[in-house]
Amino acid sequence: MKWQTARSVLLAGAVAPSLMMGMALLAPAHAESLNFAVIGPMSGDNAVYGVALQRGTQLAAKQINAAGGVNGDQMELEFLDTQCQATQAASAAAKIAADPDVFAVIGDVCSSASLAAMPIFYRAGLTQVSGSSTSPKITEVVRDNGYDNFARVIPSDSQQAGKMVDLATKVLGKKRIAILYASDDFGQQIYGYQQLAIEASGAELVAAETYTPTQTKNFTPQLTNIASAKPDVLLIDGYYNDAGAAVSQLARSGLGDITIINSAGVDQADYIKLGGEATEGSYVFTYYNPGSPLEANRAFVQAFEAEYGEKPNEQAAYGYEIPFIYKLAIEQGATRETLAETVRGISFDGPTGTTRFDENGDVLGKSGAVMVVKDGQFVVDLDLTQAVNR
Amino acid sequence: MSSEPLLELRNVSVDYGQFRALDDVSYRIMPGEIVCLLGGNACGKSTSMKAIFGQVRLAEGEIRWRGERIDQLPTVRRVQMGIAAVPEGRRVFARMQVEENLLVGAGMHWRGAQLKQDLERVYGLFPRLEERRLQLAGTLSGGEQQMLAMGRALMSRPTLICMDEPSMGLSPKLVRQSFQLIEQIHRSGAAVFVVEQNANAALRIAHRGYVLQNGRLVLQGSAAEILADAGMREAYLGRAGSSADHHPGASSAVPPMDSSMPTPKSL
Amino acid sequence: MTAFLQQVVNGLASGSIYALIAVGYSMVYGVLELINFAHGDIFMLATFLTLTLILLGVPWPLAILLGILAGAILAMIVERFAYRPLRNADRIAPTITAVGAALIIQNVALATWGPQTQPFPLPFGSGLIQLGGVYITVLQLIIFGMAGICALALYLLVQLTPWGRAMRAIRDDPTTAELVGVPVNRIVPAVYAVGGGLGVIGGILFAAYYNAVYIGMGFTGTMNAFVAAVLGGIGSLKGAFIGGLLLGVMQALAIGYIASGFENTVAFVIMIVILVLKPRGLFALPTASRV
Repeated sequence: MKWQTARSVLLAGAVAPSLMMGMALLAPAHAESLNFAVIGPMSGDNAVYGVALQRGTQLAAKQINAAGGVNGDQMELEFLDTQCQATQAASAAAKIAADPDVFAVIGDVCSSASLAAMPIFYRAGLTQVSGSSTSPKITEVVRDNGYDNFARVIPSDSQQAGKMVDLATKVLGKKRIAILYASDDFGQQIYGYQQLAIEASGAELVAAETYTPTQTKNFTPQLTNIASAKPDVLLIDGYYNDAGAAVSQLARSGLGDITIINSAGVDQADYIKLGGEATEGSYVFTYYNPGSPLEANRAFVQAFEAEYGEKPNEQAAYGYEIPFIYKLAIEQGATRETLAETVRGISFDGPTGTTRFDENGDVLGKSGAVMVVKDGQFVVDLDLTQAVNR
Repeated sequence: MSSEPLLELRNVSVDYGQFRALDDVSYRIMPGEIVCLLGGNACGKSTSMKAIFGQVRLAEGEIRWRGERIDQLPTVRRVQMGIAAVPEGRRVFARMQVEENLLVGAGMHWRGAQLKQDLERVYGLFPRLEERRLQLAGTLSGGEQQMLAMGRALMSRPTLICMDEPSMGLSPKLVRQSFQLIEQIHRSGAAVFVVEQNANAALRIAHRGYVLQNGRLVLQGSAAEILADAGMREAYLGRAGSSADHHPGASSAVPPMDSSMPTPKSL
Repeated sequence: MTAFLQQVVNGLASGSIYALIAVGYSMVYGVLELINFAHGDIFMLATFLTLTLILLGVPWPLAILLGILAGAILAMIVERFAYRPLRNADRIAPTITAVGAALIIQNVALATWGPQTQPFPLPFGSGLIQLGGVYITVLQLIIFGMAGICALALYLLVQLTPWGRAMRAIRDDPTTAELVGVPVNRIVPAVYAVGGGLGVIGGILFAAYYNAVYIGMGFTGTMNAFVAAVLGGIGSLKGAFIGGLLLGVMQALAIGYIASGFENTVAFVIMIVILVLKPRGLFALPTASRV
């Protein structure tokens, strides 16, 4: 995936001077560009997420520019690879903050990376909207530091945690819950909220184990502990490749047949590829339903499939909405300085439903979807989706 | 005795960077001879040894084995041709058993009967080694290690054994024993080339000798001739048994080569 | 109690894999005292190759044999071009070329197979044996079997053949070994080849057991092999083998009973504790002392 980043940077470098010359000779005065920086894991173990974000935002920019741009300006995206790592996110943020031509930022995907970049964008006065960073810690950091430049279009994991537990207990009727969670910001936070939700639900948390995302490859010690606690459902708060390995090792080690509910983001084709047959019948809770009957969604799915030949996922859908939200805010009169304030006051209807924000930049009123692996494919389970949103 | 030398170094020079360690030296060793190479520290003795075994590159000159040039061959080939080494300080494989040390000396072949015969021959020469055959070589005494190093060399069925400082680090009693062992090996049929600082001990068993100084040959001849040489006597032999350090006065004490060099005798 | 035994069995399975990788690593270390940083990456590349062959329809045993062969050849290439020219140089120089070789192999693998983790299919189902409540899978039995066979074969090779004696002689004293007729330039590449081949067996079992083939497996493997080898006394093959088993069991128990996020920390804590108690490792070779 690295070459894509490299290409866009090269293109930006090659295009900029010719644009300046072109302006003097040919172009009408309004053909200026409006630059947005997109940060995410374009390479490495989480590249699937970054590429989905890239595709979603690229499709949006293409559609916006084809329809005349933003107040006549063409939207330009620059992609920076952070590999979901805090250090790389911080250095990408510093680079962006030093560039006065960047109008606003989209990203990061991973919460740890977003958290590292947030203070830098705040000090630079740049608006940052993330489509995939779901850690509840972000809400705390925004509130405690007054980061009024930040917003996210996807719900916090504090909500997701409750929904996953609801799905396990109220909808599927499970009583003995085990949890396997990533040891990073995302995993630890969602695990904390799940503990609270389980306590409130009256079910029992019989085992909780953690692992180091992308580094842990041997899940058998954790799974052995989990299996010996005899749970009837296992919640996995992690990423698709870790979840795929864990689920397949669970099956290969014969530790038993347990219902599996994965956190959002596991709904990637690679999860099924890695986990193989063991993934059959496992669930993923997500905040995007590609089968949603909303008109905005149907148009988006159709355009996305036409462009890339595959169905969009959660990161692509939320990523797709962000350029449109920026466009709407600018059309409502927002400048580079007032963009965040305008964004937070907006109401936007997109493929994932209606987006509005609270005082911490957290999105309000999104509904979830339950996907299940059936014959090696992710499909939306309509009954469970309805039940979990009730 | 055959008139063709076993090993011959012709006008060999070796450089270490800017420093010429060996300068135009020539040695010949005939079949069945004991030849010693004498000299103080850093006179080129060890470098001569390294040249014979191909562990240094020659700047000039050539080395012949039974008339055939070997100076481009790797060490292993030279050993296979029949030149064996008893290195300075004995250098037994300390973490291996005594018998394993001997087997390493036998090379890479699986040759059951022949190997057994060679082992028996060495054990016949050095019964102490047989007593200790399963002991780690590092636990042997200095004298026993000397036997082992010699035994290991014999295992390759050499026609020439090159010994580097066999007396080094040994007590006077063991030095005597060591030179008795050399004679024993010689009786078993191999020619011996001994590099020594202890000129007295070496000349007592050698047929002929060469004397090196600062990388140049300063004297050669029969053991008796070297023993009789006045300069030699003054430089080394008067300090019998303890001539470990280079004597600064040696260069003036030894007569210039052209005037006093005795013609080598064929034995 | 059952859970404890289950953790031990699982730990022994991981440990057997570490042991195979560590023995190959320690062997190469032992012979010239060079840390072979490329060891893990060699088996990573060979494991990817094996996977590719399997996916192309090459029969399993043949694909695995070709993988082992590829690892052995790659190890010899690394020895020839990264280490041999520097054999008499300062110790730091070959260490740097080793890291360089590792990076080259990583980048070749990255360009060929991409950064994504790939699953490793099994040619058999997930059969199980139950022994008093403890489950042992067919795959685990294969892992134990392979580790046992390789350890025995290696023991015989090193202790009883001229080749093994030559290797140990080089380990004791390479200069003298050469001087008494050991073909050092033939034995050393062969040691790399055998070490590399053992690494590939470990790598394939690693991939099968964890169902993952990925670029980083080489680094993980080298790290665990390093810990296992140091634990057992570096250069000692028996030590590396037992060190690998111990590491696997202790990691499993530490994750199971202390803190599950700490597997790598555990490895290094174990190593530090043992080195404080026994600085030369559990099964250090006797010092090459001379009287």
